[in-house]
Amino acid sequence: MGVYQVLDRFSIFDRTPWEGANNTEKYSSYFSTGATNPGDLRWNYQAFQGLIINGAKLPGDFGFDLFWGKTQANGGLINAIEDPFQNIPPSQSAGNVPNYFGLAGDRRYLPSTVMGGKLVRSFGDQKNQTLAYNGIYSETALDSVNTNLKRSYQVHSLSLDLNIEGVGITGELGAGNYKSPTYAEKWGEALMLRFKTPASMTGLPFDVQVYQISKNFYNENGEIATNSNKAIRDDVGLTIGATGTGGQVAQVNQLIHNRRGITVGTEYKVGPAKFSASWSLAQELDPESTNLSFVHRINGLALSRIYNPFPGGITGPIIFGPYNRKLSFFRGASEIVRTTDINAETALTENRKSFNVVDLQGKLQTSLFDRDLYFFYLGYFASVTADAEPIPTYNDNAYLFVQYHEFDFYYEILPKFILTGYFGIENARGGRNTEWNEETQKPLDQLGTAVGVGFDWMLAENSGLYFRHRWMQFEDRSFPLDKYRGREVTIELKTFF
Amino acid sequence: MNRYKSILKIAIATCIALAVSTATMAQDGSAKPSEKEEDKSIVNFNGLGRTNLLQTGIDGSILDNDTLTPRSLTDGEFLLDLQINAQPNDKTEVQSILRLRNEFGGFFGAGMVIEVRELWARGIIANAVEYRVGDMDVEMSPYTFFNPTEEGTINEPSVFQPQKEIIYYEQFYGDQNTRRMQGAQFDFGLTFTKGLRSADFGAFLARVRGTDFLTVPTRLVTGGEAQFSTMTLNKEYGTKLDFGFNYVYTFDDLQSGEATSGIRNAVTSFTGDLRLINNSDYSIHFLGEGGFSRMSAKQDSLTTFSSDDYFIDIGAKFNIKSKNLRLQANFVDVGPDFFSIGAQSKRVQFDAQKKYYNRAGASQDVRQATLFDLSRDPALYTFELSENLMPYDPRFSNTFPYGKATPNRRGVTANAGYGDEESNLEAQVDAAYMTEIQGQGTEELKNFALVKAATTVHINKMIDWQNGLRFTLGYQYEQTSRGGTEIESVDLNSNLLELGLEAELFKNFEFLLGTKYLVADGSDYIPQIERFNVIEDFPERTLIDDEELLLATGVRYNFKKGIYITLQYHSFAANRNIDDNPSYRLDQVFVLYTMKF
Repeated sequence: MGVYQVLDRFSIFDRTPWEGANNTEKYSSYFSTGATNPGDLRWNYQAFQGLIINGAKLPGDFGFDLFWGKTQANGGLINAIEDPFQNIPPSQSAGNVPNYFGLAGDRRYLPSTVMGGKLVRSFGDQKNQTLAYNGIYSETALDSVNTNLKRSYQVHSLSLDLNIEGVGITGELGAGNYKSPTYAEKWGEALMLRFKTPASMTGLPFDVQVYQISKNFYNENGEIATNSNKAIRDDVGLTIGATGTGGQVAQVNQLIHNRRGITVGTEYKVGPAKFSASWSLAQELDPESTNLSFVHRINGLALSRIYNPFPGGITGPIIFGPYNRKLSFFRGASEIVRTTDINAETALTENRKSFNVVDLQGKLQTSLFDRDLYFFYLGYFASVTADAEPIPTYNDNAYLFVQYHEFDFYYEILPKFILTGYFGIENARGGRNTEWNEETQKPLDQLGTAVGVGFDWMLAENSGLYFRHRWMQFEDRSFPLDKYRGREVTIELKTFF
Repeated sequence: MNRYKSILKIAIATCIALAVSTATMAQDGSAKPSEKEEDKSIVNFNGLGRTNLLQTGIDGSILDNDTLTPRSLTDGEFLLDLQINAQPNDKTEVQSILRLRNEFGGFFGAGMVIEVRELWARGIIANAVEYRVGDMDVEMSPYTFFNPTEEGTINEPSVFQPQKEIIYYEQFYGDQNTRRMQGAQFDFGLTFTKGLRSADFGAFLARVRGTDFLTVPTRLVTGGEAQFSTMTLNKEYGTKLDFGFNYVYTFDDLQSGEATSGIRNAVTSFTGDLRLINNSDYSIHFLGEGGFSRMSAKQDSLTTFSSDDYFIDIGAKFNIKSKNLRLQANFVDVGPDFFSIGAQSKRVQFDAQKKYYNRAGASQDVRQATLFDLSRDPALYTFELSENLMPYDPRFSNTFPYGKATPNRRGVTANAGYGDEESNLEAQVDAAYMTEIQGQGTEELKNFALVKAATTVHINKMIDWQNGLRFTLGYQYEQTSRGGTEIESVDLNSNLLELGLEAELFKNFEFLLGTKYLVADGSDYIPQIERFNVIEDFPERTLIDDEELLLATGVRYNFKKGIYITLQYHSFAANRNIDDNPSYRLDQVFVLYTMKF
């Protein structure tokens, strides 16, 4: 259970500006750890409703978690009365005394539930090393009346969190399957190991991750994106929470099924500045993807607010845009790119694709006129190619090349008054084997920019006024209808007590 | 002129009475503002939190050839009722309950409700008159304004109480027989030094229905009571008399909307309780209530329907204090046209749409409400007033389907009670033998025999066990009969048995076990009500040969008083043996966490 989310890879300019509302503490925390405050940890959690039983400090240093309930993928309120006033009987039947018997979504009544848990044993001097068994089973009714028709999946894994001679080793070795009345059960593996070496051992700290995840491994409530298997996707459809489809261009350390890959990262601190870099190379295990997708990191958050990913009665992500290739999800939007080098008879791809990512980050924490000043830079290059390349590349071999650059600026120009600034630019280019526009006879060529200004004003110890103004612009130079300009202004007054 | 003089005299007398009054009474069971004066805080936060997750399944021959009924359903809710109580001064108190509720399975705002569940203000005017405006709970006598207890339960086993608590809470049922109203309420009391000891007065006005601005008029109900208590008239015997007067008037405001037709229902009653002897060993009471009702329908200024009737309920009560024993017998006569909206409106709406499996079977017939539904479905219950006698199920209650105020009944009732919460054993037996006053569709009269018995055995007190161990028994036998020709004759017998066990295995950890078993056999004619209490028709004879069995078991952990979590499994089986009606089973598993704070 979980959601892939690493805040260190996102700009915090207008991502809940009021988080950690305590003057520059938020930006200082982001500089140090990548998180704006402890509450950010929730972004790694999956929304869940139900029963959780937790046992800790049991004999033998065992602990356990058990849960039963619903996640958004098997919840929902299709056909529910959405006007809250209609939940109350009209005044002519009961005065204005409320009751709730009219509130009934068909779908939420269905026995679509998820259950699972883990059994964990702690060991080591500090009891901070663990071995655990994890299991999850989910079933979703496919028919509102015949609830015996259901699709289900299960995952079983052994996870570890070790520290051997200063080398941190984490990982999860497991397998899972998916089945439905129209899809025969197939098992697939999910293997991941991650090693972190300290600077004292290797000069620079290194973070190395290797993984292999079968296309038959499926979990719509986990961190691993499992939207690449066309057969499963045709059976399930895109579920709520999906951030992309087909061959997703991943963030660094983001896991996608039907891939084998490696990620290497390091960081370096010099004076008031910190730099980090990560490189990732992955390849599909089986040729699967006729579609590719990548996240619009520059203006995706604002777009998802316009194209609400959760209107009433939805069963999957919202697809929008003049070419029906943009996808809105919670706090983001992504683009779907159709490939064209497919078998003319089967409409299936015959090429395994390689995914290459380089992620850069620079942070500066200093002062100017004795006032805190922060600069943050996020850079990202990614490509999808037919053959593996050492670095992200845009050439005849490439299906897609994407790059983002984001600059954040925060300065306490007056006591308790922080001036904020932002500039972001993204460029995505499709290769010759992706969809071409009929009019321009060119593949995708997108340029998005954003400029933002704003301020944080701490009115009192726990009260702040947060203002952000973002100007955004987007154009696909090959697809003439796909362009927009806009502004987003937010003013938030927050008081914590 | 004389009329104005009379009004002036009454006004002066009232002012004097108010001026000399020395005590006031709370208008409901909760604390009066004056009782909280010592509390320094002027704003208090309390409330209730609840998580309820259920899974329900259906099985049995009823599902043969049924491709529409879901075999399994999940349901649940998460809610927080935040109660904000403020006392800006020692004469005023205001309270609201804000409800935040989310349906199980509703994410990111879907299924979420935020609203005001309760809002009222109350206080004391001139240290004499208490008032309350907004939401209020009103109860008067069982024949005038009363919320009679629901059927299907006698001495409810503990295992069923968590779900019943939800029903009670959602429908604003209190410990007593109050109805939730919205309006205004006034109370004041007088004390005297000679003859009369006290006189208490109360009045209320509430809107029970709003107009639709077309043909449905606003419906209002108003009422009042005056209760008097004498000094001890004979000190040797402790003789004392309490008597009172009740009046309730339910009416439609024909000035609202475009409405031209509406109803008027007035009920008046007199109560009395003569405590003839009262000493430390025993007491003897003669008590009763009598009154009359008038029901009319108006079309503009014309009366299109009118009926009136009376009732009387008198008896004697013998209380042997040393033995902790109470005995009472009454003669009851409630006229066939006696009509009291405020007292005859039932808690259970047998024709309401059930929340779970309202229809089942190949033909998707409406499923009859059962013990299972009565024990857990809030949608079957209401606090509202009904202008017609509501449908009832003779398997559960045929003698008094509308409580004590059931019309067209004459006969005797008797009851005996033993023990209290401190005793090892509590027991209560109620019996009634009633006949109809007016035949329904025939000159033959139905006879009703009813016996109810409830026992609670506190086993832990008997064996001196420090943890709780309690056994409960409830039993109801009811027989309905009518002579005459084959068509006229009626013969219906029903037995309802409840058994419960509540064992505290470890401190605060309880094992719960309970069952309800209903057997009903025979036939009866169930009248079809046209309007008010006017019978439109008697549909064909209802043949009954039913058996219902509800079994429940579970565990409950009590964190502290009012905060607990319970995990339960309930299994229910219904067998309908008439005309090869299919049988079915219902099963439910649920987790309920309740927190009152």
